[in-house]
Amino acid sequence: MNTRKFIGIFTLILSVGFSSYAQKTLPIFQSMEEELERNMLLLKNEEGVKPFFISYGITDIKIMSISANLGSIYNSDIDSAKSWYSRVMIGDYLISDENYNDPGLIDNFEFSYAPLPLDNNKEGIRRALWKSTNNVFQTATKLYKSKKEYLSENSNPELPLTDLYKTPILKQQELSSNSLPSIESKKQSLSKLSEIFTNKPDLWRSMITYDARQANHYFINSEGAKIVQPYDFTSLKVLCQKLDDQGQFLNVDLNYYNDSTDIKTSDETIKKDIEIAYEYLTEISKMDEYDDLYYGPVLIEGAMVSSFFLGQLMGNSTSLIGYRPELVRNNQTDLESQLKELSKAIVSETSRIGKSDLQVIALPKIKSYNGDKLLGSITIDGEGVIPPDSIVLVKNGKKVAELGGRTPTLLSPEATGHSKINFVGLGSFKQITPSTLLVKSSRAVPQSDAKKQLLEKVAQLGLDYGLMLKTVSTVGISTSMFEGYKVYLKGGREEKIRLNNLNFGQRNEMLKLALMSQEMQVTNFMNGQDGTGAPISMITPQSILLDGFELNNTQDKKSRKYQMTIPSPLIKE
Amino acid sequence: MKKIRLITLQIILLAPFIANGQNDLQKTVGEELAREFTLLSQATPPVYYLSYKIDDLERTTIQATLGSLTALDRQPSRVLSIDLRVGDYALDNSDAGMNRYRQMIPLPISNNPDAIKQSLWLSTDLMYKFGSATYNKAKAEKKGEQNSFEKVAPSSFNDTNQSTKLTVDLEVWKKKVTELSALFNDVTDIVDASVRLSVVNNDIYFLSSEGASIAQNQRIFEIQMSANVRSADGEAINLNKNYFAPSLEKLPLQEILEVDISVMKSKLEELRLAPKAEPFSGPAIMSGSAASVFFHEIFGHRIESHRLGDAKDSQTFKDKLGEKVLPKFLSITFDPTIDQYDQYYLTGSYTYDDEGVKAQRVDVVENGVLKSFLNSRKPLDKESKSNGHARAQSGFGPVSRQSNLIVKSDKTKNDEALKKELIKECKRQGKVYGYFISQVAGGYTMTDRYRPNAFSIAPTEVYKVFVDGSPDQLVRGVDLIGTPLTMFSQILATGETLDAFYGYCGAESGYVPVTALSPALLVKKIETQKSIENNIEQPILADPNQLKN
Repeated sequence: MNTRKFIGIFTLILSVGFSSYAQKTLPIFQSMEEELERNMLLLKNEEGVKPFFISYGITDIKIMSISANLGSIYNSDIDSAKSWYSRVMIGDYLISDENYNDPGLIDNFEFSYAPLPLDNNKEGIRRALWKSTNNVFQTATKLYKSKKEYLSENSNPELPLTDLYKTPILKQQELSSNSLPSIESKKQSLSKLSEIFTNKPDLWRSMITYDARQANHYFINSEGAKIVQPYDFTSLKVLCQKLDDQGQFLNVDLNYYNDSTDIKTSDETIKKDIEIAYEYLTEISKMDEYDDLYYGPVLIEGAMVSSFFLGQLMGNSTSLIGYRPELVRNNQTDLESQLKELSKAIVSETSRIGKSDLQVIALPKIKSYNGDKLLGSITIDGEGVIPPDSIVLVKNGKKVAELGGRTPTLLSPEATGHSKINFVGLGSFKQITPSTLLVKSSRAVPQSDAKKQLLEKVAQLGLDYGLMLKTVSTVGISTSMFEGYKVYLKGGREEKIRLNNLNFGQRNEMLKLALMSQEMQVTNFMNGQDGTGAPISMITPQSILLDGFELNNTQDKKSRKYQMTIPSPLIKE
Repeated sequence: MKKIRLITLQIILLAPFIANGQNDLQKTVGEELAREFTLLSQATPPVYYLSYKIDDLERTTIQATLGSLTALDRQPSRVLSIDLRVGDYALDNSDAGMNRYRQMIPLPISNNPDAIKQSLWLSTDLMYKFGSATYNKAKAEKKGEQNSFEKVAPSSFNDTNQSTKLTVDLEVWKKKVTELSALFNDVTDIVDASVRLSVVNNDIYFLSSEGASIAQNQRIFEIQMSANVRSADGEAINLNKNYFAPSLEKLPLQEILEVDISVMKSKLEELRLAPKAEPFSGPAIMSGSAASVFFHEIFGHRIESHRLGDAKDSQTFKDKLGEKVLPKFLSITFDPTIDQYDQYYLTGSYTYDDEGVKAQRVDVVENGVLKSFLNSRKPLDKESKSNGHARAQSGFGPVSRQSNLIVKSDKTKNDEALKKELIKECKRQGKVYGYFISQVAGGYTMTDRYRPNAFSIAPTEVYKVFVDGSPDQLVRGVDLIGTPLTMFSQILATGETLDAFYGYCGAESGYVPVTALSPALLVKKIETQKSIENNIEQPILADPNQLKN
């Protein structure tokens, strides 16, 4: 009763034009609501245990995939599906079945699942939800019982984090107003676009891959949330591969994204980018690979900077993605030790990850920056949570918060609205994913000073030259196309070199940041491979200077060599 | 001088491919084949044989589950399979045992010569790298005097007809399968039930450096009905029914399917309540369709010659040519050249096999005596020749496989007489009952030397036939097991009429469609074991849709 009251106070009504969409949404929402209501009312096990929270998410997806090369279509397909999940929780907001594992619980019985219908057949949708609710509930009851026993065996200690964060209840309904383009006309235009490769027979391989998605995500929960949101997205990827005379593969990919059901970039622009990529590959393939050992400063410019920060802030110990460790009932570690570790982690997570000038702020809601579209922006996440306008994640080099959903984490005890819907093909799933990350320095310098500071570092270390990496500028996003330079101390002369196999992402390289420029740039990424996952936007300095960059290209490269036995059929005599 | 020689060779080699009736795809592939072979045959080590097989496919799948549409897909694709051989016919890289497994290589679906040629070039180069690397291994491992590959005269054939484009009315079939699948909605404790239409139209192109140019069309039309119910003790019980036909029009009418679903539903209800069987050893009758699976698994896989040439295989029949291997009254034929036998449509039919050899009828057993094996172009010994049984799923390297298996018998009895014989045999063995195995889902067998040379067949409909005249009793949870040679010696008699089993047989070269026809068998002694329990937990709440019924 108290819980209902509490939730009621926070209810927000953001309903938009429901009646106009009713025909489309009605069967899906009705099925979800009827099954949710029935399960909340009637579902209980033999011991009378009932769920306290149920949520359903259904994504209605239609995708078009086309690949083309040399004026020919390799693959074309339109497909549709409904992807869904059920979350059923036992217990209460403080202690539920989640964030806990008991390896000793082994199910002897198999559960059956039902596919969701492609049509909006109410009975089919209800059947799928009924089965999955039952299955999740069965597992949840066992876990909850085990968790309570485990805590009881250990004198019911106070837990440092609750299991589910309470959030305001939302009702928002906005359906996709887009439709996929005609597949025949798209095949024609992509086929035509790919003809650009016919006069580039020296490329080893090329391909244009196009994936357009029209999707609506439906979400309801037992607290009263009812949301439908569009998730339209399109990606176009151009791949160019060249095999140089030394048997090394050189790859460039150009990526174009749009949060609608088609790409907005014109064919002419893409063609210009392809010509730039081709010239780049041609030039690079004629150069000898830099094969020296280097340890010193490196100046990085362009989209590579954004890629560097994305890798650092998502992929290792400096990750800003909230992680909730599970309590595990086992013989190896007792509960007291696990809770100690958890409490210690909360403290240690505020440790330094960058120098004192480094600032990282999440800006989930803003749609553009200096005229550039921020594709990572969200208004409501996959759990029905509205993110705040901004979240300070790194302050003066220290991590002070992290991104999370409704499951409280070490540095995200409150929901930050970043449980985003991610996509792989016709499947969708929730995952903590950044929206827009603004990375900046409180001691940023003009970009024009960057080279000067590079040379100062070179002089301090007694080196002859420093390294500089410039991302080649294209409309399409490409972090694999960059020019390397030796910048000599003497006169600041720049000498172009060929650098392969650069790797920044393994350790905390942000502690090596010696400079960030005042000038900022926007780069949109996907957090999965080949246009999958969810979009992430990065607002970062255009240039950074890293100290202590290590490059070792002296190893034997013979094993990486490949040579075609006979010439390409495209090279006409 | 060298350039002139190359050009001359190309012209000579191109000649067989630039023939009348070839479409643009064949011409393009032929040109690149000629270029690749000309140049690679001069490489070190040299390529002596190169073939391209292209499956130009369009699959349409429509599936509905319990009244709602759950799958709809229509997708064209082109898949390239390359057979590239380094060395010569006497000894090539395939003897390293690595030629069977290949990649499924996508080709452009439009006939753009540059795009197709580039894909062929990239893929052929990878195959050459692999072939040349394994050639030395093959030389070191070579045993016996038989060649690595049989040389055959090249064939030319074309039955693809581009003008008769296959169309499936999606709206009509969506409605049909949805309505049919909804008929299962009222089955008690239904877990899952679906009806699926699969249509495959495949234009298969085969071109080789020997000069073969074959284009054949294969179409498969299939309706598959599948349903699962939960028994009172929580076990999942599955029944399937498949229909294959040479055209959409020849698939069963909606009314027939509705009747069959009604029969399936009754059988599911009976099975749901049927008792579980205990392990049993004794006499049994296998229906024609059950016996078809029996022969396919137990006999058919043991006469595929590539297996017999493998030292790791148990080679059950390798040295049995001319010897009695089955009862004298049984004869077995494999015939891919026909697509109809009596009233049965046959799915294991083709005009040329996947190595470009014309399909042949092979009488493998005559009056119980083993006469031949199913051969590909990989010779089992110095004398053996391909009889057109090299088969593969697209993307796999072909090996000898079964086609349409037909069992004939000289010792037949009608159903009633067969049942009397069963009861007589039960009494002779002091058994209270024998088994009648009516329907089976499929089976598998192991032919290697590392595991027992056993088989297992999964019946879905099994009856106890009592000697005291009590009504037959349906039981569940039975798996038929045994070893081949013992089982063959136990066959006493057969029924009069043939029955069919259709399926996709999976083995080293992927899945290929096969049909087996056999009369019912009376077997002196079979052995059964309890089948694997597949339990499904009863949901706490009732099916929301059954609440309304």
